[in-house]
Amino acid sequence: MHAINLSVLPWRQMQLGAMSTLLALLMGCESIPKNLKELPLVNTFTSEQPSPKADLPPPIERSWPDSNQDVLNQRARGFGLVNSPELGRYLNGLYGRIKTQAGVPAWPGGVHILASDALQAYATGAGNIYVSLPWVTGAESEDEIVAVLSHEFGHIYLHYHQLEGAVADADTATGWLSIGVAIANKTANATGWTQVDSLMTAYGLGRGLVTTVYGRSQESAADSFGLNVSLKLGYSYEHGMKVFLERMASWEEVNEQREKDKNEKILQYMRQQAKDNAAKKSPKANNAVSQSLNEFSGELSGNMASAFQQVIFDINNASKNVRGDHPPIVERIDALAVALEPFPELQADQAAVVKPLKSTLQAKRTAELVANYGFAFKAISAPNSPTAMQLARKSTTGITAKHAVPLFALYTVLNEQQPAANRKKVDAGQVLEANFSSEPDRAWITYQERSSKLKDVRQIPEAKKVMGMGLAYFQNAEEAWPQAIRFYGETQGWDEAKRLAQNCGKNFRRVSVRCTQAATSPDEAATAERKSKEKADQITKKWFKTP
Amino acid sequence: MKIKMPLLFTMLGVPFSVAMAQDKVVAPSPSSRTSLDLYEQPGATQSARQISVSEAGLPLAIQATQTGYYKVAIAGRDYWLRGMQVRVHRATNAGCTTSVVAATGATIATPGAGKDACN
Repeated sequence: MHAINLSVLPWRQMQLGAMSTLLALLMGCESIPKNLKELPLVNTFTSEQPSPKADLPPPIERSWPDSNQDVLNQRARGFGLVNSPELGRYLNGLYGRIKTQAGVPAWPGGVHILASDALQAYATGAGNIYVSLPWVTGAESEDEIVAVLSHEFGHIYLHYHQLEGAVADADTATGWLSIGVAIANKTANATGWTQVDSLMTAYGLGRGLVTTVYGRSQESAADSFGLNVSLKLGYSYEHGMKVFLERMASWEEVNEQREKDKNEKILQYMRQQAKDNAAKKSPKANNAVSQSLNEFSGELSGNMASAFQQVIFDINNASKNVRGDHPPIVERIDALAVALEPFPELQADQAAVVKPLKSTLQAKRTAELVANYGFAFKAISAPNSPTAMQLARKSTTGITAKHAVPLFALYTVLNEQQPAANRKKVDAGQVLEANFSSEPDRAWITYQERSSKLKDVRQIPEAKKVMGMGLAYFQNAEEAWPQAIRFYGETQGWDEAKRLAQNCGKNFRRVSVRCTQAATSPDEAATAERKSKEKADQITKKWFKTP
Repeated sequence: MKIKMPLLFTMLGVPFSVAMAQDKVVAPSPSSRTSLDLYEQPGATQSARQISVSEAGLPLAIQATQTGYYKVAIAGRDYWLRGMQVRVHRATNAGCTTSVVAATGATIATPGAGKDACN
């Protein structure tokens, strides 16, 4: 970390200056805004809050990516998808009604459940909607579920997936800033930020701003779309869109607090580390005066670093409001409430539709599935707790015996908990293999984890066999390739990894950069890091006048 | 009186009172609203009185719900607020366990309704 000299470095001004410069460069780059300007709808459906009774804009013709390949790809992300035909039938029934109401009943795509305990939902250009389990199990009524699905379908109907190309192009255009990213990746660790990290902040802000205008307008447009369609389907605003947005606002509040707590821990760590470093620098300082001076100096340095870190956090938090592609949720609730004001009939008290959702969730198989996922999430979150093993084992029974999340819960607990003194430690990874045998339950994470751990203990043939089986099934899932390429680089050599990366780049443009990075050997990575550091030093000397 | 119970808490056997205790009225809706109507009974044709938002002492714990109304205590007395006039903090059963174990990074899809706030 470079020495911080507050007398010559007005940090806030310097960061703002650096950001302004880079933002100006980014925003001045013709190729980025040009792409965005060409995208439709930015100033049409979103320029003012449309009437909730208005006709929808006409659907836009487009070519559809393969829906099944899109689903396969989502199964290669995180823990994949929850295989629940009964829940799927219910959600797809609602989705069908939404499409019909919008006048496009034949459009492709379905609803799929993400195997995640976070409150997550997104749509893809293939017409698919992905919602996490808590959105479904935590909903108070069908009105709320329809609100989520209508909002997501709004993204599809309004052709939001065009943004994907714009983001990719923005990344390419800002490629010259990769040096900043490399520096930040290297330095942004628990020991704290260096002044160079302001480059990263600038990069993040610039890239975010490029997509923000479009992203925000699309979120608002999707809200308006969701309100429009859900009201026309007979659901209420109060129990639907309003509850959906309120729940999301509450969830984000919880996460903001979590983030604050995490930041506070980092700051405490930095202060202590600076103090310890100062003590180490002068171990021979054995008289009380010099020792306390060293400690004071270390503490001061730590506090300065902490202050700097705090500035960065402040910038990041402030910038979230500027660059977040979702406008603040309260503003979204307000916008819908205001849009409804001229229509008292749409605000009339109306009972929520509860029964169909309740019946679906209470059906035997679905209730068992939801309960078992609950056990699994609990076990993963606290694998050392006395009840973790029991919960994990229970989660892998019955309908979810081959699902990735419950199996991963058991795997995690087996790894974390030491076997009894008289028992041999088991190969926990074996439990993951149950997932391989059930086609509809397969998730890439189980193949990845199993092959990686076998490789780590030098069981290379077995590791290759698992990876081969995984790729045989997930070869059309772009998300699988970066990890597979890294694996083959480590087991078959980096020339093979580079060959695979070339194919990956040809077949899957969106992950091309990640595939190339995955094919970088440790030696090449070390050389690149050294060069980045040299360039970083040059930049910091030039920009920040450090010695 | 028909009380609506959040399904999750029913299914997990969590006492309803616990779930209700977590939901509270936090603000007027829209935010620009300056007054709130207080009702003696849900569905009453006329409000018993009107108070300014600052008088309400937000946040207010929700004691019960009925279609379109929330029962709260204001200045030691029970009233019903219209649901359309207030914003509610809602409990969620979501967590960040899976995101921490298997971070998925930036989605290649549209961010949608619930961008993963855990990442």
